[in-house]
Amino acid sequence: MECKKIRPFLDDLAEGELKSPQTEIVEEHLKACPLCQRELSATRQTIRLLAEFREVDEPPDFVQQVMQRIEKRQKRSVLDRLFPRPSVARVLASVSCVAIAALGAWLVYKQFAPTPPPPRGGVAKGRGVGRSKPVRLARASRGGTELSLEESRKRGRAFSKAVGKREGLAEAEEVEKAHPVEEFGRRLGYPIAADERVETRSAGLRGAFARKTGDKKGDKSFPAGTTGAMQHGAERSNVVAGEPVALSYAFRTQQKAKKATALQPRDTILTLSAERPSKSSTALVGTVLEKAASDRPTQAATSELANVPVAQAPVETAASAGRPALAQGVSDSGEGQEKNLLARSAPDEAKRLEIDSDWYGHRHLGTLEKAPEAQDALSTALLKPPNPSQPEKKEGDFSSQEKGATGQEQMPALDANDSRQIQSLFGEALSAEHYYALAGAVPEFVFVVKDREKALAEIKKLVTALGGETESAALGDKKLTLGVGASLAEWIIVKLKTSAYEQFREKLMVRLTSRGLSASTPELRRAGRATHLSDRDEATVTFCIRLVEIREQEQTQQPPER
Amino acid sequence: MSNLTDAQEMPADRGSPKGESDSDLIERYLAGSDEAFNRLALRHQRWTINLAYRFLGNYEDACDVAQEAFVRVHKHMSRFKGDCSFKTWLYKIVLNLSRNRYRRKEARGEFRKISLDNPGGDDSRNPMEIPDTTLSVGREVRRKEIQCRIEESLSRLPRKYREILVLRHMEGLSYSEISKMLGCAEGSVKSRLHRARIEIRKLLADLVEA
Repeated sequence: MECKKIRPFLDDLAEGELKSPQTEIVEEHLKACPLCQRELSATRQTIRLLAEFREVDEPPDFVQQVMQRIEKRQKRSVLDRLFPRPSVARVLASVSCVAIAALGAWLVYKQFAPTPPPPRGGVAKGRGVGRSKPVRLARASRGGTELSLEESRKRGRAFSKAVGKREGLAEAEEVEKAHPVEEFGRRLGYPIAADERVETRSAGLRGAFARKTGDKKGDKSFPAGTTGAMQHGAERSNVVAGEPVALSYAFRTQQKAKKATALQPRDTILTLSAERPSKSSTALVGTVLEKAASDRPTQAATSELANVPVAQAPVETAASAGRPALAQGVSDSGEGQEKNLLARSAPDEAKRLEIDSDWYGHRHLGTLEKAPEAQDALSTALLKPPNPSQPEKKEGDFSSQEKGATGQEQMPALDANDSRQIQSLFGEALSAEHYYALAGAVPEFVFVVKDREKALAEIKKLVTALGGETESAALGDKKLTLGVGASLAEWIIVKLKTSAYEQFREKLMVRLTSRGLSASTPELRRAGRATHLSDRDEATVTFCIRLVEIREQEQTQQPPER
Repeated sequence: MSNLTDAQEMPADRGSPKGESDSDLIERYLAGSDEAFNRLALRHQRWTINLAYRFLGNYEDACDVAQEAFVRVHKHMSRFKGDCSFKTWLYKIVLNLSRNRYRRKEARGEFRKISLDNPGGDDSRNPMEIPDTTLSVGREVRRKEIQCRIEESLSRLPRKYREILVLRHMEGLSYSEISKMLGCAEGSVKSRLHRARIEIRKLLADLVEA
């Protein structure tokens, strides 16, 4: 038999545990195999050596020592009983106690710590039609310290990172629940006014979470209008000092995540518009741009975009007129949007022109931060005391009606410079009242329509049927915002009974769609539901609707008669 | 081979009245007799210290571990259910305590290095120093040398090999007892023992060949 087969039995044989039949076989093999004999011998010797390993004697007082140890152990403190000897566990217990105490102290501090002081920019008792509450000037400062652009970006990145770490809607909601938007603001070092509409911002943040995390399910589960809510949420937060940078950074990040090689059906154009005097340069107003129609393919729009004369933006003109802040607002409406769109739609061209896709965000805010005096100038201009020569307002002209009993809240007049700027923005027909109406109203609905005039007529009919009033406040007949060909914008101010608002909202889209006027998609409808009202009290709501009609550049219409 | 499954078969050791088994002593101890615990400790102290010594290779550590084992027994005697012999239970306690001590020393790099030039080391209580007058000086020196070699070789083995060699060839436990104690199958015990023997044979090659 081969040695290989025998070897496994040698251990048992050496230990005397091999059973009878195998024993004979192995012994037979051993007689003829010196190698296996040596192996067996070595194993036996090893076993013998180990077995002969010496024994040690116990100490004479061993049992007494044991009993002493037992007695000693029983007298030990509670901590010693828990941790019998100095050990890692004991150290950890001590550290844990200290950590728990520190955490408790921190929580108590957090609970009772004073809220951050209001921004140095302060609260200006601004007013505009559709806004009775004080308007906070959007200056990026906190506690008397100017917030540098770099610091703002840093905080924005922190926020963005925090958002990025969240995964999925459920978690986003959980976070939202656990940390209301005020909490976010506080943690980021940006105070958020309590009178802001929390629900809007919350929806905006949730939407941002869902989009940021790429959670399509989460995105879909915001029928209240992720896009609109998100944008308006950002816009709302922008109202309060300093906050915008963080939110806009997060927003910009998710925007950049989209590969902007062409206009997408739900492409978003951010426009920094001149809607509100005090935040004209910082407010982000979302405009959901749909493809205008099936006969306007994306490619065509993109090629048009490359020809946008960005160098002719009105910013220089306005600046030379000595109104840098307002000039900034002008550029927001036109140049900034175009550049932004260009950057995302035609990256090569944007690169050639050194345009960054975040132009609308940081560069713009940075400009403002570096020139707070410009904002002050703007605020001063727009918050002037009323002009005694101002004619009596017509009854029913709700766009300019007083919001309070004091003379301070009378409509201020526009000086020549203001008028010029307004005219450059909205056309000659725009009155001061209309300007303020627009300045105080963030669009409640934004529609991309095929025929602006017909859409306007439908809206008026609907409002009249519901017992409300409308006023077509402004008409842009120039390349006002979109930069894709020519766009015509209609601003409609609507005043409705509060009870009729929901009905209006439901019927509006149906009416526009059924008549083939709207180029909007269901996504836009969803967006519309989540926007906020410009102003409302118990009885009435006042809001603004913006109709955007896109036309080929060469087909730019003349302004209709007013 | 010893059989540890029946406590009644445990011979009465010194300090214990004739015929009084471990079970009787445990029963008396649980009834409140400290004297019964003393007798139990006296009966099992020697092999407990030896077991720990073989695991750890250090007399002081072995005594400390053995004492700690009896402290545990004193504290947790009520948990002893009698489903194995008291000795087996004590074996497990010593084994666990020795493992803990071994790991701690290993982490601290405190294993005693035995020098063949100074086999007794500085340990004055080391039994290697006790002279055996029945043997000639030459044989005594040789015996000490072999013991030191075995001890050194054991200390150089991985812990699992050392444990199984001690339990099998020094304590004389059966495969089934070892498998229960170590929590592995008998087949694993055999194969591990085989590998352990091969390893220690390599370390003791000159002695084995001789």
